[in-house]
Amino acid sequence: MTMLKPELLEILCCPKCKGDLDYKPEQSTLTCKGCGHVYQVQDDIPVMLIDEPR
Amino acid sequence: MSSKEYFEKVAENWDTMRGEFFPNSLREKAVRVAGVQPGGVAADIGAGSGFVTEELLNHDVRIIAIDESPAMIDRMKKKFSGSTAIDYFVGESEHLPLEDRSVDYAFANMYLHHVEQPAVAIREMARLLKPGGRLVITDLDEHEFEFLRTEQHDRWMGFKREDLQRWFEEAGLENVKIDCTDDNCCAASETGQGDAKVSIFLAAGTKV
Repeated sequence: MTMLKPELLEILCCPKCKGDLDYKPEQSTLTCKGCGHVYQVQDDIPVMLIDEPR
Repeated sequence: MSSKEYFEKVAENWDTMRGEFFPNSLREKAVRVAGVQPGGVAADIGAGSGFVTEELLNHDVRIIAIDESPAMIDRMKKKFSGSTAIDYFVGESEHLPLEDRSVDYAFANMYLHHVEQPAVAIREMARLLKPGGRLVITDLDEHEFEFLRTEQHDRWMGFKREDLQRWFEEAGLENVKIDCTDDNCCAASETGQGDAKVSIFLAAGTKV
């Protein structure tokens, strides 16, 4: 597992509500602090799709 | 089959297929019109296998590559594995996962005709731009080749330039210019419906 770069996390946001994201590298997830939507990081690639089945 | 499913299927062969559809000179024009300067941040939206990114790598910018197809992103990541300048996301243009005013340049090459709501996608792409940032879209002029929709899963049979002009302006872009690239998109039907040759436009605007 590689960590996502800080400069990337700085500009990344929730595609749904544009809220800030909470990155949990150990779980490979990005959780929106606004709407609570959870996005998976798969093979170091954030999957930022709103209707992606989890 | 949806557009996304189509690109999942063809990802592996896309570079060869793409080479037959449109020429490399197209990306050079797009990057030139954007006025790309070293040190900037560029978003390649609907990046595919990295057609525009490959040109951007010559310009010393940070690149954010976004595509709806995980297979395409995977392919692109392998292709450019030596480069640390690129970050990848799976995402779609009507709901982009980037903050307002976070990039200097946004590109969408041959992507808009696959998008469900082009005006929404343009508004999203413009939202990402810093003031003075440039959006450059290269895509097909309006055409009548139905097989591009049935065989290649295009959603839109090209675009009217006056629609583009309006969508750009409504998205808060100024100095909007839509020009011919003098390039064509060429494709042959797999089911004997003839050959398509469609002119490619280049639309550019500056974020206010």
